Amino acid sequence: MADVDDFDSLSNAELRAKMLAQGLPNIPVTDSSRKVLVKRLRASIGGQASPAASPKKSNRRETLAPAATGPSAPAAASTPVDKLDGKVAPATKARRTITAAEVKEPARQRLEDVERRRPVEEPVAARKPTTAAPQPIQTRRTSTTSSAPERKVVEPLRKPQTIVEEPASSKRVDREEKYLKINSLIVLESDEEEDEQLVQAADLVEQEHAARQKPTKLASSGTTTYEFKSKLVEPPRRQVYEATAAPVLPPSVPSARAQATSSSRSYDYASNPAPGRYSSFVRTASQGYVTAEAPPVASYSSSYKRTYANELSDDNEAEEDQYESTFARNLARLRAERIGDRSSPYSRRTLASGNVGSGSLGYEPLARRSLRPDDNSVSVAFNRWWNSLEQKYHIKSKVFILLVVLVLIGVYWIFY
Amino acid sequence: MSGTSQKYRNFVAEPMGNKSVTELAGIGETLGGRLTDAGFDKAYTVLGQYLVLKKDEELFKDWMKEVCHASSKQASDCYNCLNDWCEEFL
Repeated sequence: MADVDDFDSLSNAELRAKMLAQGLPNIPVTDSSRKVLVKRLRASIGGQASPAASPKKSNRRETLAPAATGPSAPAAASTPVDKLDGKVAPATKARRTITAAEVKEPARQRLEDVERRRPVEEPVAARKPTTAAPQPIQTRRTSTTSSAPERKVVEPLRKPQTIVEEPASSKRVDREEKYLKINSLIVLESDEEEDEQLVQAADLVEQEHAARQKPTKLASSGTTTYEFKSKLVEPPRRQVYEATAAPVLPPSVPSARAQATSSSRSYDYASNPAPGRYSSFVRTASQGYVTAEAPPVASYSSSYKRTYANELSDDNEAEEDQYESTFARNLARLRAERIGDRSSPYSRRTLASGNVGSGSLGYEPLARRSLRPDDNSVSVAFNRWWNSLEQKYHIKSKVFILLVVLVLIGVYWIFY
Repeated sequence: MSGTSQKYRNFVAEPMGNKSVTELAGIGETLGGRLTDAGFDKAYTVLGQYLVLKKDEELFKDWMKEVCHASSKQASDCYNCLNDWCEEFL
């Protein structure tokens, strides 16, 4: 307390000396500033518990230093040094700012701060940033490393995915290709099916057409020379023909036909469940047929004339109603005309599905299946040949003229 | 920190010249009267005291509180005003 009293009694110069002895800044002591400086001196001497300027300054600077930590950290560190020469507070403040900066600032700014620090503070400050800086780096590294294994963990998961995806894409391509192939196959199959359907339709139309012409043919075919035993031993191939055959017509027709027919040949038929459909078959008498499917009943000859109706009557009649369109009929007619050439596969097809043994006259569909040329084709062949010559050379008129000339020559030779 | 007052901007915007002490930010009629009673009737006299105290914030505020019984806010406003004026013109 004596010192305090002394402060009041001290002159300005003495008071200034006291302040310098206490480490306070060198501030000129005037009458206007004497009281403030005495308070500061008392506070510094009394243990810094008093409301001196230094603690407040330190608080103020602490508040300023963190605020200016980022960009103005060197300025905040320099200002107290300029103001307070040889003061202890700035050091503590700077240290605090360093510690505060360590937490917030990034590593490079910390390194810059460390470079700007005093040499006394360097060991402490350098350790802290070095210790503090690596942590985030390590954390980053650890995070990266931790993320790296995660990636590694993820990558193997992705790899199979990519591996799966690639096959998936290839599968897609394969699927597309297969799909196209399938489509193409489908198209092809559909074409084949259409062909088959058209063929079936043609067959059915043929059957229908043949069925329509049955009565007339039967009525007009008085020269049939069939001879068969209506009730004889069952042939071995009957079941096969039953499977494919679907005779519809009543048995009365074959019976009538049998009555109308008379031939020297013998045919073995087990039964005549529905022979009517074959009754319309008209052939020439000398026509013989040999079928690969039915060797026992392979050959026969008939006097019926061969017509398209006869040839078109070799399919099931049960399917006649399925194809009634004019297109199918026309197509069937066109193909039937081709069938007349005996070289079309259609005839073979119809023969393959022929109902040889189903009817009482199982020979009928085998007509086009004959392996040898027509036996009765002497006149037919002559007619064809004649027709061809007629079409090509108009030979009839020429022959007529030739005959007339010959007759005139003969008459002239007789009378003269 | 709220925005600066119009009084602060007017004082910092130009040289103080012979402005009255009441032209300083944070110094009203009351504080101006007290300062005038203490011999600080002009702004530059207060500026002189600010400079005598070597621009020390705490000392200047303590001086303000001692001379004119200014509050912390008034002392702070006056200090900021003089400090910024010094940075601008001194």
